[in-house]
Amino acid sequence: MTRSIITLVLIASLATACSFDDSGEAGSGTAHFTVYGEDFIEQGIPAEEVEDGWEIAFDRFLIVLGLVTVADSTGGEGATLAPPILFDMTAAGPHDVGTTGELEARAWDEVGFDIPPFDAETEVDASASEEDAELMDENAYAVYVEGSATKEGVTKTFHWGFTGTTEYRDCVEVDEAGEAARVGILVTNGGVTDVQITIHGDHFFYDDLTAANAVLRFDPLAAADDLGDADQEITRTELDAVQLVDVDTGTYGTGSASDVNTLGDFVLALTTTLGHFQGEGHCHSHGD
Amino acid sequence: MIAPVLSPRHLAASIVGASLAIVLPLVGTVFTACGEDSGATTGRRVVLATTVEVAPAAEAGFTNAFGFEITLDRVLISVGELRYFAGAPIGRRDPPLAPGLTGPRLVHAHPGHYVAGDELGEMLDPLTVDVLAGPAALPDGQGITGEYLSASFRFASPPVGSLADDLGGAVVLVKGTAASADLEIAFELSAAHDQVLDTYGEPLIAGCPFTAVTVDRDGAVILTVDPTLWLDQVDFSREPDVVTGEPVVLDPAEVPHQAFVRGLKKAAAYGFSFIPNPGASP
Repeated sequence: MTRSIITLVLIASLATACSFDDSGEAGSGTAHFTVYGEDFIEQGIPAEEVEDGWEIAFDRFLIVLGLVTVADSTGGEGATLAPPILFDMTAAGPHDVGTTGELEARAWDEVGFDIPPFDAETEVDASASEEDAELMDENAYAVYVEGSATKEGVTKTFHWGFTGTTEYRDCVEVDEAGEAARVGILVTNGGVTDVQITIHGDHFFYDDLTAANAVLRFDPLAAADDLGDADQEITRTELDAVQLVDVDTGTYGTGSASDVNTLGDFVLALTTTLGHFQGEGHCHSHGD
Repeated sequence: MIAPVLSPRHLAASIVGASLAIVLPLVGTVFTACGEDSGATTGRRVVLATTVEVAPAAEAGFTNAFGFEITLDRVLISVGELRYFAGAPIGRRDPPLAPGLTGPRLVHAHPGHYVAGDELGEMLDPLTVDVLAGPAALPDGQGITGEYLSASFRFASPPVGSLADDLGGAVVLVKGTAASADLEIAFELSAAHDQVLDTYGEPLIAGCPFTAVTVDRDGAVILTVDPTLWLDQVDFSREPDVVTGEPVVLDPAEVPHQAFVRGLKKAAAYGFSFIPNPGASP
């Protein structure tokens, strides 16, 4: 039944996409992009969402968003929003990314974006400060998170920055059941299509890169500090010192990422899973 | 017959994949209606010969992450069903990046949401093979034309074939030598069915990389098993009571064996590729 609904909606949508205006020309519209961190980043992750009962809050969640692109698999020219923009996702969103120029009114099935390192071209959104920009610029970070986790009177803090570009491509919108509802976006004649790039901050704490039944877990991260200097600050150096084979809770499966062997590698790999599309929709990359 | 995969994970993945199967042809159809050529080439049946071989690095000997120089003498593996999918694997990076995982990464965006997509092909007949003895032919599989991006590997249990008894009830057996500045041992590692289960309780490695290829005719699927990844994180010095010069069967209760099992579960250790038959027509 659901598939039938999807099919009907899609047919109706694509029929609209192929509509023509009064002059007999295909019409045009635009796409307005926003980026949103949802409650988990803005308000924090409640303890009941975390398998081992830690309550997690972000004080800063800085992310550079760039190369937002609308294209199609038939080679049609779409649009690219430039330059990259720095956002602090802890500020109330969604945050405005930009609006494309006029696009032909039809389906555009190749939508993607990058999370690249901060560079001289990067603009700073009102959600982020000049101090944030300096931090990102000095370290060429693409992502920086600062926050804390609390459980049974113990609070652990973290300040983690990540360099390197992650490319998200071929984004697919899903419905509430998780079924693919649309590949890319639909630009309607005379309309403005709202497109949300959604950042899932809770992914930093998943305990498996591949398993569908992965859960949020914090004990192993907290233990990394206990094994290190036990100063309640979990550093990436401390995460790097923990071999996954020595983690005794959770699966910490690594899929086809062959070189993820430490907790530090694992958290780094999870940074490549933050970006989503229209809420729960997902993307994957074709690489450079 | 390409049968649907019914495990919970594959069910979830196949829901998305099936939806895409509905959506994508429609998109192509409407593009065609709008004057574009979708160029679809999927859906024609093909015969897929199947060969298992070992990664050259494992054959030659290698040094693992803890500095042990490892030479393999025997690698037996109980190969079960192989299935090929249209969805890209999670964590695949192309080309390999080093050091420090910097640079663009090929990813799927949602951990736990590996989207296998449509199943495009399969080989269903199990066989125990010694991968160091040279490429081993498995029975032919079958599939349909399309772009193959990922695969699943199942350990057959119980093992079958003329080498099955050599496994001694395990699904994998590795024998070799490991040498560092302080330690030199002949080791034996094995893993039983219960030790290679995924998070759904199946002896399955999902999301294995299938070197991106368009299968458009009959040909051969090559499964390349890479024991260097199985053994990369094995620190033999952490095995209790190990003595230089004496053979050791690694204890499943100890960290080195657990590292071996983690290696067995790395999808990257099971690479798939395709070679079209020279005489076959697309």
